[in-house]
Amino acid sequence: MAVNKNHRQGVSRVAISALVAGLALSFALFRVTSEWEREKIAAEFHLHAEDRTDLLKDKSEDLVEALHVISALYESSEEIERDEFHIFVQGLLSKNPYIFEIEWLPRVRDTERLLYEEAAQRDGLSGFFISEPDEDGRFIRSGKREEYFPVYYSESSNDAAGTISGFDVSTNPARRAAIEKARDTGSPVATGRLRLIRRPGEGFALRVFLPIYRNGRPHESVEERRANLAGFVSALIYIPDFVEIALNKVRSEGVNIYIYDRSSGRGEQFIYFHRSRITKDNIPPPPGDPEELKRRSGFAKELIIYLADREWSVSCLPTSEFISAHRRWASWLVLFVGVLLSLLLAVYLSGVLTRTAKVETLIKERTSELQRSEEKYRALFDFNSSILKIIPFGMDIVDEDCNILYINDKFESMFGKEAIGKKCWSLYKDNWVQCEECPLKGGIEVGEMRNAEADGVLGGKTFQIIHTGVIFNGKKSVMEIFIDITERKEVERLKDEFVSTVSHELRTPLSITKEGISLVLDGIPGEINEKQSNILTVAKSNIDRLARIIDSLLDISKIESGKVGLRKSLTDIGALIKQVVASFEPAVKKKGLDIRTDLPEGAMRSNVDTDSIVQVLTNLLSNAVKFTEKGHIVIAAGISDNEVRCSVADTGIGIAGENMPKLFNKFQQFGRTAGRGEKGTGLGLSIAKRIIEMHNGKMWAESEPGKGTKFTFTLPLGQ
Amino acid sequence: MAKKKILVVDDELDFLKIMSIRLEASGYEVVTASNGKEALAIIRSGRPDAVLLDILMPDLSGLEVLKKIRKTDKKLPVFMITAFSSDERFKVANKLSASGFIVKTGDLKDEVDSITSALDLAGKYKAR
Repeated sequence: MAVNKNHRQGVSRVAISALVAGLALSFALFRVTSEWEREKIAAEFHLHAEDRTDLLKDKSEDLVEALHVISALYESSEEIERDEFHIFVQGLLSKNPYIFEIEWLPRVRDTERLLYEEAAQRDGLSGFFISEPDEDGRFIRSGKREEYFPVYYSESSNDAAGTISGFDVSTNPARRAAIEKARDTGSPVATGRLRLIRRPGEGFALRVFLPIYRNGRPHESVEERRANLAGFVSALIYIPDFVEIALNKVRSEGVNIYIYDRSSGRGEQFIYFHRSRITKDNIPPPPGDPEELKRRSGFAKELIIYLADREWSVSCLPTSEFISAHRRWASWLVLFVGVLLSLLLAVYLSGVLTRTAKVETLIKERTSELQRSEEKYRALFDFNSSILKIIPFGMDIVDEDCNILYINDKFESMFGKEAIGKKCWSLYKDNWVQCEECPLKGGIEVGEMRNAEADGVLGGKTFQIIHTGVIFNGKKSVMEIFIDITERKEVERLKDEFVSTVSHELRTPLSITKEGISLVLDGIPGEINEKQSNILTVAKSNIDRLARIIDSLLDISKIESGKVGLRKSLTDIGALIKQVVASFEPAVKKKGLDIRTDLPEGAMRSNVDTDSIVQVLTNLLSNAVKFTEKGHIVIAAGISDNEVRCSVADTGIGIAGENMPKLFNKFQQFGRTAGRGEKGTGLGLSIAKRIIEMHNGKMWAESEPGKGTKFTFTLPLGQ
Repeated sequence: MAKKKILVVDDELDFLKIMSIRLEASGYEVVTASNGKEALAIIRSGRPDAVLLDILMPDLSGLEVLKKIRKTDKKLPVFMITAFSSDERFKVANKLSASGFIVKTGDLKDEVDSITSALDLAGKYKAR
């Protein structure tokens, strides 16, 4: 069965459309889901970024707070001694290790310069003078200015030599700007990024200045602040330490942090890059400003914090570890499941459609096959019906009670139309009585065939009725075929009459001829010589033969026409055999043969017509004698299986295998071409077999050419 | 001893002739008739010692002749002549007290011998 091309194309079109639609939907869902995932990661990351920014903010507040502690110290007392400063600040430094050093920068007016220098030298700072770096970086005594801000006390976290005492911080323009802003605002102000001379090439640092005003003096307005400024507390913050210490508290990893000082000019904004401790990413050098960073990564989250008047941009970027740790697979799952479902759908659709197509094709094929076979069977049925209708024999189908169910045309023309439903015999029997020998009385199996002859049909006709068991309309029924054999019967009757008459008419002249010859041979009319006697003897023997043929013909004619009336009586077959054997003894002895009987002791009784059975035995024995030249003849009998079994065996010439089937045919003679003595009629065995069959027995022969022949017959055992 | 007179009745004249020769050869005096009426007339005119009577004859059959004979003479030996070794008509003949049968196709010499024996036997009873 082939699915046609159109179907197949249709199937692939539908399947491919479904696949394409499914894949498109899957990709759309994938996009939506991954976008959602991205947002989720971004939101998650922003929380992390804010965490870090908050820590930085906290740390910057700590710083300012620490500086304010020092300002409070200054504000609470008129004069701070060096030792006092030392103890106080070292405590702060140890608490805030990111502070590199803290200095006290007093405001020294030019008029107080010498006083300060002397006081410092007295205080143990030998060689103290207010200095500034020259062009070569060497500290020289600073030139005359209106006011100075020298490093007076300096405490460093590592006890190393602090900033060179006396160094006037305000000599650097950037620091001066910061200082002035701090003085005017009263708030801490930080510088931009600085390089530490002591840690060149490492991280950046910055300096925070906190203005200290004279104790109890007003510093609400700029003028008041300028007038009452006592000095500055300056803290040098090492940014790497500051950031790392701040971020120490961070609970999660996977965030790189770029810090820029937006308050500085272009090119000087980068302050610090915090590399996530766990990342193995290959990170390019940080860009110069946050805008460029944003351009580099869409994921960058920029938050602003303020540290001592500086605007810091804190930009956080996730590391690949963060991304992979927070990656969600839902979108890929959606894509995978979507693609899988699409493929499955396509395959399923293609399967279903192909099957549907196949089934449709199959249905079409089967339907047309069915139509064809129905047409064929309809034609066959019509043909059979028409044959049944037109066969030249009357045919009917009756149920088991002889009620007619169906008739054909011939039946109708023979027995009339109103047949259905009537008893078959009521239609055609002259006496309207069921035939005595009706096979239906005994029941007929389906497929079984029984013959019956019905006479007295339709005004004296004789019919042969063939009964066959059939299934009609699903029920066991019997088909009857009616063959008018009236003419045949008449012919048979005429033949029998003819044979009877002819044999009678032949017999008389024959007997007269024979007797005439006998008289001459007997010498009654006068002596005859030997030659004459020989000739007449041959003539007489052939007349005898002719007489026997006529007798046999008559016998067989009678048997065939069923006119032989068997006069049955219970007879001992053994006795019958002995009687017949005795009659053969002279002939057997004359031929030099041995004849034996093998009979049981008791009687073997069968209900037989004695004359007929004698005729059978005679026929068999005469054959045996005739065809046996030397050896013996054995007549055996016994009882087995409720029957008398009798056999006549000789050691004669035997019968060729190819002749065995024809053995019991009429006028069949074998092996007699060159024989001597009495000629047979070729009817003996045929008659014998028929006689046995008329007694409900069987007869058969076994033979081996050259060794002998054995004839066996059976007769029912009599009660 | 006077020859015994035997009446042979048969519509076949040839058979009568042959049978006569056989019987005469056996020492009988033979009278023949070719039909039943003639036979009955002969019997009435002078009783033979025995009758050989063909069963199958036109007009008056052997059996009818036998019937007529038995009406007047129950002892006359009547042997029925038949062309067949067995026949339904034997029964009828036996009922009509036929003395025996002669089968035409058999050996007539033997048949005649058996008649002779039968007649001899009958003669002995008679003599007694």
